Amino acid sequence: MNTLRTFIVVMSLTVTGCNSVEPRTKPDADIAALPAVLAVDDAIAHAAILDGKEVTVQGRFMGWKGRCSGMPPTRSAWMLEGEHECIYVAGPVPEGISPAPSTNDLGRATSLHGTLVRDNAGRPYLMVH
Amino acid sequence: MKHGRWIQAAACLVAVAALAMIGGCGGGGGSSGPSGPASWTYMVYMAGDNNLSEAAITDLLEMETVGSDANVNIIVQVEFSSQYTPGVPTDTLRGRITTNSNLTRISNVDMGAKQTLTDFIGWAAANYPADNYALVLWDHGAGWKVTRRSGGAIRGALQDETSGSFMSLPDIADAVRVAGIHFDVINFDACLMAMHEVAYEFNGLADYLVASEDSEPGEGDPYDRILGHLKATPGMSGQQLASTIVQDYVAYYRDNYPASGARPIAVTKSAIDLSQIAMLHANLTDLAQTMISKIGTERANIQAARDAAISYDFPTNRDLGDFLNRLAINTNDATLDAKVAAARAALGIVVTANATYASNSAALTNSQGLAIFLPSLSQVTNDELAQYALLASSSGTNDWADFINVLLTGDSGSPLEKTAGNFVFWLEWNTVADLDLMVLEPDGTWAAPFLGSSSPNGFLSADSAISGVSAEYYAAAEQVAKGDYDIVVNYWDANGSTGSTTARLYFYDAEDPNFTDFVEVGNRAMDLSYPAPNNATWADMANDVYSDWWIPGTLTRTQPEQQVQTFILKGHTVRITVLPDKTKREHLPYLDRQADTVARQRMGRALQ
Repeated sequence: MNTLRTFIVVMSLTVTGCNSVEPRTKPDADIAALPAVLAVDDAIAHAAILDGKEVTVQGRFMGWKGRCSGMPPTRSAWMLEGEHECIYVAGPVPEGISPAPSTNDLGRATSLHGTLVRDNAGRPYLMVH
Repeated sequence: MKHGRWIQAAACLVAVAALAMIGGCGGGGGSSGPSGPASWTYMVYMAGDNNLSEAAITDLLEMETVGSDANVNIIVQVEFSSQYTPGVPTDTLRGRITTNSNLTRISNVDMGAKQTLTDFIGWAAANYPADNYALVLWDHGAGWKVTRRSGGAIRGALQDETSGSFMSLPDIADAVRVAGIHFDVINFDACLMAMHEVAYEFNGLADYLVASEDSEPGEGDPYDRILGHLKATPGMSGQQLASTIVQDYVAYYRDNYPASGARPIAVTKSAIDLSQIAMLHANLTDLAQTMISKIGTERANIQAARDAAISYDFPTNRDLGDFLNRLAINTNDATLDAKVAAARAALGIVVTANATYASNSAALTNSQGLAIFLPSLSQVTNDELAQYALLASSSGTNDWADFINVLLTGDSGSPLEKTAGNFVFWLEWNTVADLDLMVLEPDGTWAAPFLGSSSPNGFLSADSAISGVSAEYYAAAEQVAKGDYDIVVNYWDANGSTGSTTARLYFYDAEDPNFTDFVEVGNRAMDLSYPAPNNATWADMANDVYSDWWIPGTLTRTQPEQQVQTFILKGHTVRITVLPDKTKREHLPYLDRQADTVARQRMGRALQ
């Protein structure tokens, strides 16, 4: 059989794998001990305690082309990458740059203030206004 | 449910070898359809070769739960991304969706090319004729906004990452026009497309346009609900289908993201009667002319209405109805008030369905179904205004585009005054000596790897003293400040090497189609045999008087983005000119040894 459903099911395997999509977090961390400006990797690592909190996160702007995986929170959401991790940002891009089809803006150091939220799969993302 | 757990569970049981079976299909045009015309052919053009690839999969799953029948054909052309959904075939797939679909591979086409869209529409209509046609344009969307990459083309929606394309708004409309099918409904399952400028572009090409003023969640349209309703009532009119899409879309998010939920969500969707869009446009042009003529007394009222009107992910997109309502309250001018009232009435006729939902606020209650470009001075560039003037909706005299220009002249602050960047300077040399690439930006800011990784106009490589690589680069942002970018190279330290090093400067300009790769624009032997004194002048340095300084040239970035820029380089045939004298050049930071030393200490480097 070469059905669309088989096709999609197999793709779903490759997309989500057989493992949980819950990000690795450190729930026992003390929020007060975190730096005022978080690296992307730290924001994701501490997503459990930062859920719903306003945070300032620093990373590299990657527009619509980066290491973030899974379904973005919005179709305009753009990526902010850290050393190892990547987080989606829902909301306007920083002034003067564009999410796609971006060229030299990709990789630009960017810090932004927003609210950390987790989607239905538990993946954290940032909401900015 | 968008992400049924059964998908993942089943996926863990299905042999990956099934991927190989996908490749087995080939040939013609997918599964055969009914013998006679159906009531509806619902075409879905899914440009999923980007980070929305997984969303494309889930939406296809929803379509398949409904499937086509004798009355409703669900016809797709879809492409996925092997980066975001690893293992998927990279070919484009097309065919008729059933509960057991069999799509056909048609090689890897450019989904961002207008001919591809035209071909799909023609193929779908020829193979699956119907009394009514709908076209879904599925992907990223950006309203009318400008892309900085493709020679100033105007962006709309539909990105193909592999092909490096993003279809412009005029091209999308052209694709539909050339295909020759008049659609009952065109539905943008994409962000930010419910704009007057977008709707006007499709004038005469469809009866109804469905789109969202705000960004759409990744899940997009609930295809199972929409197509389920269409199959249940295949005799519905275009207006009814447009309204059904609006209502089903918002209901889906209301049902799945309740106010008490952890994840906030905000959605908008509206249906536009395109047969009335010219009427609305005429009213807006009348209003624009009145606002222009009354700007001397009404500027503050107009500005206040603009600034208070609800906006979206693009802050320059303001809800038209909200703006009109606020202007009606603000103004005491009878003539202007009458024009505003006429525009409000026209808007009420054009927007035949509008629904919003915000799970944690009432933020979208003022969204009335159609946004319009209405920037403040600090939000817009001259290039952007120039591109806006090219839209079909800006083709008149004293129209909305002219009104924007008049309004902006009285705004406080300053314009962004930016232009296309996307250029790179790459410096490399052939010894372990420590050289520094520096760029003097138009506002006098110095950018250099040893000073940091970013500047107001770009970003930089690691300092070669840290990376250990005898190369550094400066990469401009997509938009940069207009003006001169002076390129300066300093031989700082021999770093144990002997003799001179040859520094080579390369340039690449993504905005200029003549550049397919980096081009060497100059080279110079450098050493510390005759270093510049503290009172060295820019002119002497530009004339290569000193062995440790090299000023290869200046990039002037002042022209509109679609024009070829100029790189100025002395002694070379490529874009040569004489460096003009500029006051700011008399203040090179490197001649201030104290500031220089502080900067280098911060970088952890040894003092000279």
